[in-house]
Amino acid sequence: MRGELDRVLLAVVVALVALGTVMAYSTGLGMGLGSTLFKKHLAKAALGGIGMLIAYKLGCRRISSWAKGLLIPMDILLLGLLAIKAIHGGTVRWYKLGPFSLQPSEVAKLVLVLYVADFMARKGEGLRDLRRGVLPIVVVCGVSLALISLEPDLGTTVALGTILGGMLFVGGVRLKHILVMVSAAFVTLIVVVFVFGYGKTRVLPLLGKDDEEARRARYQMEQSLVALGGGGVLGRGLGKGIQKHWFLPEPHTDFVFSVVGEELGFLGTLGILGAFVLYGLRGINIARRADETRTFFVAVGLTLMVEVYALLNIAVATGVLPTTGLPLPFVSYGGTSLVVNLVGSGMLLDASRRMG
Amino acid sequence: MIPKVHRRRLFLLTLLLGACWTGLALRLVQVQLGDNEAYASRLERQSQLRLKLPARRGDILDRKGHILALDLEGFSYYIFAPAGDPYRTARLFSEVGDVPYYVLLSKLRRKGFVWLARGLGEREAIAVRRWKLSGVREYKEFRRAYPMGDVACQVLGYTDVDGKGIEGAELEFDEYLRGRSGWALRRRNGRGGWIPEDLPMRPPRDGADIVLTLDAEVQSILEEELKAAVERHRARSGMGIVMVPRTGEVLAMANVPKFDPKHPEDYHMWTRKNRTITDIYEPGSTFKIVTAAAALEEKVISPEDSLFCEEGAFLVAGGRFRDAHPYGWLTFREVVELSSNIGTIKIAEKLGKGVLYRYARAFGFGAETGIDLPGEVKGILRPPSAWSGRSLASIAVGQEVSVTAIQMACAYAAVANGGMLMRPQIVLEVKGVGGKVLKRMKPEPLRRVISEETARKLVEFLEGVVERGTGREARIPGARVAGKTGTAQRPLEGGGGYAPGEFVASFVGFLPAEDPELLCLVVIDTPKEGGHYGGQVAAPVFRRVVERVLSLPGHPLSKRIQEMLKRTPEMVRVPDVTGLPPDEALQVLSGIGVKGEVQGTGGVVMRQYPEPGCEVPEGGRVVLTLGGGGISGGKLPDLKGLTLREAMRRLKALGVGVRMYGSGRVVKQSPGAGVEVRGGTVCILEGRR
Repeated sequence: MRGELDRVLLAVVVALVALGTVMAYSTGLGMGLGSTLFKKHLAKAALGGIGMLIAYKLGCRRISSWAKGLLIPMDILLLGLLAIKAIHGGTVRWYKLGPFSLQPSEVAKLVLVLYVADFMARKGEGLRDLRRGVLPIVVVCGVSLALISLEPDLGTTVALGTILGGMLFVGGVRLKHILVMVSAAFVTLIVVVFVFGYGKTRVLPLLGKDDEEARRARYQMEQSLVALGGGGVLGRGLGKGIQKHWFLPEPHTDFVFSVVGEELGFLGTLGILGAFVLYGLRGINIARRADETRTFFVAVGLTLMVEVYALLNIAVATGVLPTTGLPLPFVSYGGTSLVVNLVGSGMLLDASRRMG
Repeated sequence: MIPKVHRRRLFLLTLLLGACWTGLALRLVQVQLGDNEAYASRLERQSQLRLKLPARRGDILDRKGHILALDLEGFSYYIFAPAGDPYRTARLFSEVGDVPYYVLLSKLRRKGFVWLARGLGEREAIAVRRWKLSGVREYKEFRRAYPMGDVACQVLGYTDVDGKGIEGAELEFDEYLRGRSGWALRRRNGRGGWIPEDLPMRPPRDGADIVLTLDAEVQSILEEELKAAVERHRARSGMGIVMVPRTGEVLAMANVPKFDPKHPEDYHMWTRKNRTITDIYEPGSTFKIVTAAAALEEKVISPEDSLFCEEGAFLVAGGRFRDAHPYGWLTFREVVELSSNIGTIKIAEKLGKGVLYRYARAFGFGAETGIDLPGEVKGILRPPSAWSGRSLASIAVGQEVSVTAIQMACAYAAVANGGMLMRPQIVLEVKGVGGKVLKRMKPEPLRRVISEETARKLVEFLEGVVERGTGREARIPGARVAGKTGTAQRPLEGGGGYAPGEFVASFVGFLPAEDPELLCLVVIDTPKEGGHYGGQVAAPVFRRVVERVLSLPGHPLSKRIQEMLKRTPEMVRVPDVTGLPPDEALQVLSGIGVKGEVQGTGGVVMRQYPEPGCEVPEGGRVVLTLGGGGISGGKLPDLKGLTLREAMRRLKALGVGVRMYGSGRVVKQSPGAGVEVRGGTVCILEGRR
């Protein structure tokens, strides 16, 4: 049975990408980069648009069936980063290929979402079994997550873990297994947070610790709130933000939401919230009306992929969560994230046609 | 169809997502709507900076409009330490600025704000910008400059590095000069740079200009002659005042040694003070004017009455008073002309304590003159109730009293001015932006001290002093000069007698006697060579100063004097001897019956006065100023096309300071050819290959 393409979802995506392009121009000016940021972002958006179109044409079922085969190359890509890190040291999250850069964790996000959906569709009721169902998928996901956390990129690890956990929850894993997984993940998280030293700089300041280091860490967060709060209801006007002028860290990526808040005010941020809520509702709607479980799981995973990132990014910008370094889907500057999210949206749009 | 368990779980997940979004929306309401004002004000606070816009401090000018002090745009540099490479920063800035390397380095190693250099010129600023040192910020402010160097330095005073007046006229008129600084709000970014935006500002209001009564040329002449005299007599110091007796306007007020107003901190306080008003000295015989004036006014003795001068030694209340030369019978007139202490004491005894004291006060001794300069002192003149038995005698001859130079100049100006004491005037007017006169000072008569009749007689006496008496060295051919010498022993520091062999030699005089236009006081402290009498040491300085002032082109007095000089019979036209070696010039002059008088050092006559073509009486003097010793005179040659080395050699020979930029041959010079060379002139040369 064939349904109509979800025009609302498409409109939401186009609107968010358009906003992102405008903000790339605004923040680029703020950082004294002229229009280079804008031009690069436009190119990436075009690339993402093509990706979306191809994904739409290929269809979500076909693409998700490739996920299993892509797992190993993806893990190799992630391992490659660790190899580079071992040689050069520091934090390595990107491959740089001339003018392009590739963020493997973003690719891993899509591959894992599709793989879990594929796995759950194949296993069906078997997912309720610990040894045959839960353990294998947890191991596969755990390896990739571990590799990402070693980059180190804890924000992406947490976000991706949440997405995959949510999928497993919907997939019907027993609640006691879910509970064990969540507890284990939580304990691991706490250990990792303090092993990698994020605790001192990111978590404790939020809890009110007050020393030189904590104050410096809190500064970023406060600057984001100053931007949002300073914007008020209507904002200072597009392009007229102050905070993007080196007060905010990463105004074009991690804190683009705050810049929107300052320039377009509460109406702007509410618009973004509304857009993502709408994206979530349409995505869930597409899942619910899917004609078979594979499409259902793919739709749920792709929706969660966008929703979780958006929630976490905005929670950081509003000072609810410690800094994670996650982009705001469709809006933040950053090629891989934009392309991956648009490819995902292309697949969702394809799914919207296949309603039962 | 999708199994029910999935749908149920998805529903739960949807609820969870909905809860999260609702939570974030509420958080946004709180931050953007609830705390909006607090965050907005913090945003403005952290991104706005209130910059001070410094006002340009007013100029200080002389009466002819020569600029004595002005504000130039300067560039200052600061840094918030720690930043950049402290070693490189300290090394480079210690080269362009005044702060030594190690001082700068130790400051840069600490935390906080550090001035790296202040008030640099345009060229240095270009160099600093070229270094591109990280963290270094530029701040444009004004720096004080004194284009005539140390001319009138003690009168002008100086400012601190923030442009606040600290001494002299800079302090006295600070309120007028400083103007009002403005401010501007600027938007800054998170890294200390600027975001262009139109924000409120208040422009600065520049300070007003002060026009002094000083004449820079007269001032330079006085300073040069005092310096020469101090060197000639190996004296401790010298000071002098040139005034217009009729108005009380001070044309020159000088103290040597001088200091560099750009670096006052390098000099002792004593050098920086304007000692003509802040320091006192025992006047000696110049103070006899009080006794003489009182005696004439009170008619206790007439000019031709005789007094016995005790053949040089006289006991008063156990104290012995002496005359420099023993005299027998002298008339009152001769007592003044020959400066007999004993004669003066005998006249004072006829007057009595009260009268003498009253006249001394009337002439302004023992009180500030009220000149508009800071730090003036009263001097010491005790009331008769505090006098001892010999005080009357001592005070009559200028001992047991201490005066300031300005008091003495004013007292004689009163005599020259027909008995009317004027308040000494140092400021002509205060001019606002665009030359608008804000305030004009007028000559201010204080009181009549003596009658015109008495004043006329006193002038006659004083003319006699120069004609026949102790002040013969002050004679100027063709002009009627009135004056009085003074030779006082220097009191020991801490009191209790006088320092053996230490004298203060002074001369105060004015001319022309029939209608005085110019008054000059010279005080030389502790001359050690070439005599110590006022008539020997100070009177020649008076003569040189007055002669040079009168020969200044365009001086209102010079025409009158020139005309007066022309009336005398045998006149000789002075040939041009500039450019000749001194012996040759002297030969030429003696060939036409004129005496040449050489001053300064150097191999060539740079300047002569009277100038070529002027007429002087036969037997008169022509003063030749030699070049090469840094003494003013001569004109800057055209240096264009010369190698920098050659140009520098020539300028050095003229005593002119040199600053060079570039290399190769001179393409530009400033000041240009033909500009008069003064003490402290600096010529800037630009070379190109």
